[in-house]
Amino acid sequence: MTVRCPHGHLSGTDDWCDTCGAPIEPAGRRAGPQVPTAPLPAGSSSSAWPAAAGAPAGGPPRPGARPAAAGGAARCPRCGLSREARQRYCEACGHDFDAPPAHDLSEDTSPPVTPGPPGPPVRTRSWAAEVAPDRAYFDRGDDGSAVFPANAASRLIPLTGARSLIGRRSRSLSISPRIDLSLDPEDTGVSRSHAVLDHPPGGPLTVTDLGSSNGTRLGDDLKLLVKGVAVELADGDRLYLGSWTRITFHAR
Amino acid sequence: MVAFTSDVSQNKYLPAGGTEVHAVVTVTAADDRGAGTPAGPGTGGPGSAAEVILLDCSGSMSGRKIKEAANAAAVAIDTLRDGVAFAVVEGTHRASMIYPRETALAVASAETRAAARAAVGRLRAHGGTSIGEWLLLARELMLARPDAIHHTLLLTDGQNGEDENRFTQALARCEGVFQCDCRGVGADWSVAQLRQVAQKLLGSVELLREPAQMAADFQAVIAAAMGREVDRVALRLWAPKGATVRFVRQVLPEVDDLTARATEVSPLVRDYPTGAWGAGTRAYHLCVDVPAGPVGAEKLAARVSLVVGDDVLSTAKVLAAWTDDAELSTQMDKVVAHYTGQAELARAIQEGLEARQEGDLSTAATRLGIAARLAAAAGDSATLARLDKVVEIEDAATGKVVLRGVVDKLDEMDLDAKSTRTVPAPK
Repeated sequence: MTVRCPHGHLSGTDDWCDTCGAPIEPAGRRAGPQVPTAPLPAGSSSSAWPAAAGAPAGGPPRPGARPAAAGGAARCPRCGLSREARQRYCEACGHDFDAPPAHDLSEDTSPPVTPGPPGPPVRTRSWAAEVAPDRAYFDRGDDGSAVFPANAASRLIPLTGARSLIGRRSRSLSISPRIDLSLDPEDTGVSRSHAVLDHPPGGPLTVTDLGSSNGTRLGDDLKLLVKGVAVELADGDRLYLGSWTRITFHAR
Repeated sequence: MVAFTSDVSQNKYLPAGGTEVHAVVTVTAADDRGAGTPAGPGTGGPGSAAEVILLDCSGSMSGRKIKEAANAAAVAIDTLRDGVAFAVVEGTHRASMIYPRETALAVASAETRAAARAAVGRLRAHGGTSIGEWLLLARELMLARPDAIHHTLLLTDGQNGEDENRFTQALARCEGVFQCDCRGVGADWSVAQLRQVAQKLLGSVELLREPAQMAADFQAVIAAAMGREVDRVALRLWAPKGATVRFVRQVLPEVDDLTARATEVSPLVRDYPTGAWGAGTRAYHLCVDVPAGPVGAEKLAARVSLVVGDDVLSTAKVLAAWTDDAELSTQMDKVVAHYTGQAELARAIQEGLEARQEGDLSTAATRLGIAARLAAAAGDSATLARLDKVVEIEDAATGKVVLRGVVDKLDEMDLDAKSTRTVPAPK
């Protein structure tokens, strides 16, 4: 028997999802609200920033915009990630939604959206990210400030759900990225909250640099991504970031 | 058969952004045939027992000790039920068979028990101490009976004379093959060495002050081993994607950190070996970091099962729920608090004794003072009594203690050896 959890995982257990632990029982049988699923509005297949309730329709949020109402879904004024109901801190950048708005005005990092081509019908497929230290990339930028790791094993991380953060884990900022470059060998050239991958089920895979310190580069010609602009990725595309990290995307 | 049930104690509430989930899972194995029913004569089939007794026969054992050891071994042999595969090994700088003569296990019967008793009566003390060699011979004997529940009882009175490498390699080869309860007699053995054996081989360490104590202790150890019916039980832990297991430790009846013993079953599932089970209660404290969810959400943070192979004997669920009500999220579950204290108590005693041996008396007094406070808070009078022989407890509630000038070595070793033992959480 398999059931689908609110986050879209197929689970072999019917009480709690055996991938993410989300409750599977219908709402009402359990005390407390259900975990809301990520909003996936129609027609936003090429947009990394699906419109969320409470945000101005048809465009990115205004810088410094406060959440529409406490408890209502909105977007993070710093990085633009949609906010889940009553969440205090942004999942991507750790921004404190309860902080005074004056703080937000200084940082205009609201992401504009590149208009994609009219959406061709997309196959439902899943993605995986292969993370590995890359010697050639390291050598190109080697300034002696970092040491290439002796343990150069690669990790394959399936991209489940609708969004994955690339960064380095921080307890104090409540950042726990799915693609965590703080794991050994830690790449300290990667920002805590470096970039976000959007991969709505059935939609395309896009990457958006969240204003990282050292930037995110695409392809072997190391094209620097523009901060806050979502770029669509294809099977086999490679991202380079930090001192040596290469992330290769595989469609499955 | 033995029936397993498990209970979870936890405060599931976390503050917004909180990730650290603590829970204690208490597992009770009850013998549903009723207490005291003998398991019946061994049939040699699955579930039968194999027992090897490893006796230190080094030169230092000469005199009363070797006589009492032989006497204790004879009592242990008499406790073996019919059909159990067994052997007695002479441990010196090498290992050799006492009974049977050939390198094999005998099958317990009135006749073989009598022959084994006669053989241990002829023991003479000579030579050195190579514990790794003894264990390797036990391993060889055990491997011939892969279907049995394997247990050994090791007795020594001295420190291991092998080099560290040989010893740790021997231990590593024996891990998972058999369990080993260790007994030290007198004051010349090393608690740390036997603890290393016991932790690797899922057993216990005990100090026997007087050689005359051996017989009763051996009988109790063998009886407990004969009562074990379910072998190769693992604690299986599932944690959600993105979670990290910080630690898994047994906290009842003894503190034993299992974290490093995990084997991966699948990316989200790990098994931790717990050995063979008879009737009894064990508790496990686990700490898992889960990705933070939004306030108001609730999810499964861990699923803890006891398994044999893929058969699930019992299962328990650990939850995480996020709230902005600080009153809910700051409460510590009483059982989690109790066993956190017990683990700290074990560490405080070991660190305090170590500092005392190194001559760092102020650290020793601080650590042993903390131990006295924790033991008093848990109502652990046995530990308090053992502490009282090493420090003068002026005020247990505040941890004010003064180191005693003259301490019996045996009292100090006893405190160390029993430091990992815990008391159950109050109901």
